[in-house]
Amino acid sequence: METDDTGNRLRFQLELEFVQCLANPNYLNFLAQRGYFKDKSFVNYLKYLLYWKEPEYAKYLKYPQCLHMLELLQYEHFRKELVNAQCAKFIDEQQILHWQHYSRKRMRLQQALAEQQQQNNTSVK
Amino acid sequence: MDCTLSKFADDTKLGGVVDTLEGRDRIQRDLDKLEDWAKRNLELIEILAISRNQKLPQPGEESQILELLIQRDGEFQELMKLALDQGKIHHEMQLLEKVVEKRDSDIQQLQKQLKEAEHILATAVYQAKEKLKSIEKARKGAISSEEIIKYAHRISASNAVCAPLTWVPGDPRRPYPTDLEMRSGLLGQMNNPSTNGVNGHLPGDALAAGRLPDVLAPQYPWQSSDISMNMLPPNHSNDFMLEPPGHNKENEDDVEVMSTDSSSSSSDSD
Repeated sequence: METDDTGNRLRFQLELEFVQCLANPNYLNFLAQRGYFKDKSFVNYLKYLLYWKEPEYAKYLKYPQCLHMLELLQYEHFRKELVNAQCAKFIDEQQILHWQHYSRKRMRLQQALAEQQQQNNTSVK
Repeated sequence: MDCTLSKFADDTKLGGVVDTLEGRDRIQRDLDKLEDWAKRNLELIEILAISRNQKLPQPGEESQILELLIQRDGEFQELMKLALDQGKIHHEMQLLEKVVEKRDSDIQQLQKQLKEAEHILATAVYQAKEKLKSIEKARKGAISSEEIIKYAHRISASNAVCAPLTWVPGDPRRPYPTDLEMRSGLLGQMNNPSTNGVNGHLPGDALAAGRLPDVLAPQYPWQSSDISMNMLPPNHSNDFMLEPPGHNKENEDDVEVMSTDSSSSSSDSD
């Protein structure tokens, strides 16, 4: 039982790592080009990995974007599209832009605040 | 003849609308009979008058004719009684019909009100059901707020969902595990394909290709080996060849035979 448990714990960590790797579009492109997505058992494995969506498992994910990628990977069309490098590049760009969303928003807020302060100063004078 | 008949009709109050065909027929028949007998009576009276004028000794005939007249008169009276009765019955019928009409309209009113009530109740029941559904959903998905806050802190402090403020296009940091991170994890360290858990095609050996980015240690390890020491994944058979229970999102037509071993449920681990 002991070895079973440790085996399962190891499997947990392995699956945790793997599911988060799916957030990397370059890696997905890599897998697609090697033909992994055509393997039926791999597709079933991806479906099995959907358990990471449950809250008691999801709290261990550092990169939660992987869940969205996992959902998309359930669709065959998406898997086929990932063979193209441009597709992967596009996804990468969009991901990074989205990643920068909050910092851009903060910059805009700061700018607006600065402008407002300037206006107040000029009106006081 | 016509004016006497109509006068007679006025006297006995046979005038008015007669609705039922039967009643109308009967009364029509009775009126025809009346006409007939009136004609015959008139003829008899004429004959009597002529015989009187002619002063012919026919006493037998006279008395016969008189008897006939009396008989006819008797029948006449009976017929008039009958007509009166029918008139009364007809009048009652009309009253009853009015009552029936009133009841009909009452029933219709009641029906309308019942329909309205049903509609309102149905709406209320539907909304109540929706509320119950959402309550059930909320209860199922209940998570402690502490955990959510901890998690939120973790994923934002480590720049996993929000880019670092000093990020510039040359920065190797990404919202996903980079090549180096992947290789330095457990998966990357497994050179041989494992035989106990995951299937043969491990991504470990698939990480052989790729670039070598700069070294940047993440604040929170994405493998979280310290936190998840007691966490276990859901059970599954070693065989992913067979279709798991449930259906694929797109290939609904090819349903394969399900093995009794495979159980890829996402229930709580032991």
